[in-house]
Amino acid sequence: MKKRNIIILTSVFTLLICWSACNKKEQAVAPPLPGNEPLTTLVLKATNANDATDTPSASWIQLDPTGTNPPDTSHATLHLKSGASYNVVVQLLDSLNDITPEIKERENYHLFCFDVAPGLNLTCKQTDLDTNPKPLPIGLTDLFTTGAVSSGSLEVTLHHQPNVKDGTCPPGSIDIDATYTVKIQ
Amino acid sequence: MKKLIIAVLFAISGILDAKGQDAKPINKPGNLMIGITGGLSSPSGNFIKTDYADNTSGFAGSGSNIGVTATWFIKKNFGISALVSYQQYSFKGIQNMADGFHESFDVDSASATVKGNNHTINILVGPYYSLPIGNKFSIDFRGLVGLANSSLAGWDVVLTDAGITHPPLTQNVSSAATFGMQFGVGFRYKVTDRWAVLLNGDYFYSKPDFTIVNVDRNANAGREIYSYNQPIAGINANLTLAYILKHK
Repeated sequence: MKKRNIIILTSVFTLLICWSACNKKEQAVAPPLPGNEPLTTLVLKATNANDATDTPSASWIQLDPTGTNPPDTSHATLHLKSGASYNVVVQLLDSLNDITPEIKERENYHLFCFDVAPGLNLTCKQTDLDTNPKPLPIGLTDLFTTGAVSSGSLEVTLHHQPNVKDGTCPPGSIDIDATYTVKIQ
Repeated sequence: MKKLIIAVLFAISGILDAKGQDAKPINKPGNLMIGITGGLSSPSGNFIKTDYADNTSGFAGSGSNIGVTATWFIKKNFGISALVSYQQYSFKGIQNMADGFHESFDVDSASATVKGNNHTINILVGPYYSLPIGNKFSIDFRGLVGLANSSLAGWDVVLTDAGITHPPLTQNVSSAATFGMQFGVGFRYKVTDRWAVLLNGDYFYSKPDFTIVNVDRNANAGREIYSYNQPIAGINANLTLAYILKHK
């Protein structure tokens, strides 16, 4: 009788232990990784749609990742002709490499935005589309259309929009913020 | 060599048969054996892969099972058995999931949380054969088929970048019913005329076709699957406590 009870109780206890062993909440966090190279340079390379020899470009350079020192804007002036259309290619670099292909790979959550200062007769439109279910602009290639002679600033921002990209600029964070001077002559 | 193996098998079967005839019958036609069974479940194959980039990965770990079984002995050593069981598997590789989304969206951090769990409810029936060894032991074989209703765990992933926490990306828990089977062997020890314990080892198999719903997936980036159709198969190692209702 005693032996029987021991075996039965041991069996029930073992069943309960086995069952309870596997019920627990699973969660994990992938923390920030140190050492990503900061973006240093944003280049705008324009080509006049009606004059292939008209290829102005401008570079905005910030070698100080903290942003304490001002950026190098000595080559950040873009000279465009009035009443013209320019196909523009955007190039991004860090201190070591051209990382434009990386942005292209991650096009589904990146967007270049262009903020034209009042008085500058320029319109900017992204011409490339990503591969999201509803394709949205990227901005690695663009069409700049100039109006009458004018000058002013053009702010170019790269927005990082992980899973929140909707074709507008506000969602997400800003990876790079570069301001150029544009002179339409 | 083949002849030798066949001769040995015949010799063993002869010994077992002789012992079975000497022993008091451990089984009797009309007896009903009802048991509570439980133990460890160890799945295998793609279901246990944890590769974020591989859409066949099931992210399942080992688990446990519990159930109720009943066997009605039609003849001395042959019966019909039924099993209703619940198998649950842990979610393995949640860190891979978090790391994968971290990389896929190039964000500062990604937090992944499992929703629900991987489990299967089985309702199976099939033949049962018991080979007595002495008057206390028997080796029992069974092959069961029937319905397997499975559930695949889901998850939430929260992305945080530049101090902004974005709404979670979600793969919902999904379920599917399909044909299932289980077959194996058990070593039964008769504790008393009414009680017995069994150590069971069973292979289980089903291949449910899950349709998966993803929520708040605005960007075509990161792991996103719409279906999952891989075998859920492996081994159960169980202990069964059985009570015998004797046929008069």
